[in-house]
Amino acid sequence: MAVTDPDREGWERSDAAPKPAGPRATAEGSPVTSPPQPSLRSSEVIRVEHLAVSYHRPDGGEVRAVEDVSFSVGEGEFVTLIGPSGCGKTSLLRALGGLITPAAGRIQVNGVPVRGPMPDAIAYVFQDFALFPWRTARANVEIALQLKRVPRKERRKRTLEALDMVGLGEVADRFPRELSGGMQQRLAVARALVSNCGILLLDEPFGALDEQTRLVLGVQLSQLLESAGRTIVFVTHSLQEAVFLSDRILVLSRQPCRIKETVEVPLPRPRGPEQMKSADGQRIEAELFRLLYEESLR
Amino acid sequence: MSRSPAPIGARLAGSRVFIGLLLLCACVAVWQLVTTVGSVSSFLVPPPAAVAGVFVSVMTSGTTYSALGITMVEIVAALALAGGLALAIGVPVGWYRLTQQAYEPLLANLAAVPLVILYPVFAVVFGIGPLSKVMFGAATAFFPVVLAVVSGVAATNESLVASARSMGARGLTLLRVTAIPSALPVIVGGLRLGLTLATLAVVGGEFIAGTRGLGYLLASAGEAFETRKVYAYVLLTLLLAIVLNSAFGLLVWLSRKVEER
Repeated sequence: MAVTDPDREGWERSDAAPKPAGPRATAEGSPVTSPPQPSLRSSEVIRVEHLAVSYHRPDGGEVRAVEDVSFSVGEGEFVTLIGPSGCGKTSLLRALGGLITPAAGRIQVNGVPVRGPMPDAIAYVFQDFALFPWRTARANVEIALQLKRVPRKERRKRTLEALDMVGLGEVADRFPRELSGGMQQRLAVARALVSNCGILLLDEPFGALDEQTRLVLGVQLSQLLESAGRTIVFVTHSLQEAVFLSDRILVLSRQPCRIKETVEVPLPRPRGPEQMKSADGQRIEAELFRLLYEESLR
Repeated sequence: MSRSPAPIGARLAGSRVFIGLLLLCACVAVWQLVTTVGSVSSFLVPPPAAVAGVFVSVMTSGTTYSALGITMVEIVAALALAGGLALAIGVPVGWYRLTQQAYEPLLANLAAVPLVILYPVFAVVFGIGPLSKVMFGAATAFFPVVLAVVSGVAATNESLVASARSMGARGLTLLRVTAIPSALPVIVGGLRLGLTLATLAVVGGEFIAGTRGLGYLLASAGEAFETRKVYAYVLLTLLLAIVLNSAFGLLVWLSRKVEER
């Protein structure tokens, strides 16, 4: 259950609101692919238009990581970015989070142009978890609220709720190095959830984990996030993860990354372990692989 | 039947304190041996017992305490000045890759300059009173501290910075929650080295040209050929260094507490 914060500024979402019918459709069906174009949805939360991102190499050269990317994400939707290694997925996600300034194009979140980090609207989970090694599990979660100047008493309460939600209540006073990889990952998720942001950006959150742990966490994450009803943009390498978690998958091309194809995932929700290997899921996975393989030959 | 507790001797033998004391006793024993064998003049190396006697008499004298106080204040002031300046310069230099690449080698080269050659300048500019010792101590201690700050801050995990930014940390807050705590162990290491150098510089400064402080007392005793007194003051300087160094553990512990709140 999501913790509530009456004083919260910025974007509010109602947990009682019905999920958008489109992406959460329960009808069984084959993967629907559509040409890369921004889809217009009624409850649009993220809107990206002709986005381009560049970064400077240490030797002074400039590399275009993202080129002319346009898409939008509806409220409560789970969108996955998948693409060849080093294609610019992380750059794209960082631009969405306001962590890097785009070279061109526009990003709007809840109708507001993104000019920098938006801690009241967007929470971020990093590939390497980005936990502060000198802070206990509790303090690692609490810092999200500290930085927003939430009063101490409320901070303590919400922190413990978030830790309980991911099953880390017992280890609140341990340091990250004393936790297993899976626990560290859940701690990072707890920190992202505690601030009640409507949007979660997850950059390969399971990348550093072994196969078994990532499958278990994937199921747990999908259940947790479904109950929390957040809008999610997720970056992954794993096709299986992408199909299992997403409403929609954006397949990206090689660097500079563009949207090659959009793949809808019309699998029913809630999805449990039994959906991991469903026939429809496998068909979408095969389609994704075909697209990525095609890209690798280019 | 329950196991009986280990004899106190065995427990003591395993403790770190005991091992440490053992070394200390060994040193005193060697010292005693050297003096009793008689190969070294007892004027140059007086026996431990004689030095202990003089140490006790020195410690009952008011002049010692005022000198000790002066030296301590000079060292602490020198280190505080060096630390403050090192943070003010080192944090921005280490934070940006360009400034780090431009200035770190420069600072490292400057650190290799033996500043003692500049001591006459310090004495001329700041006089032979405590101020010149503080400034000289600060200048000497500055380099190891600033180098530690620069390398510590530069080594801050980029992903932690991005994470803190995504949670809304900006400006000084961003530094306070990322670079400073991340660099703290390295900075403390630099400060320890700085403390050693500040002590050296301050006592040395008093020794070369001073009117007060432990170094001045040491120099006076030496000039009067009172070697026992010299050793007593050396012992006192040693104790002072140990006390100041131990104060660091407390400082680190406190800063951790403040950061976590």
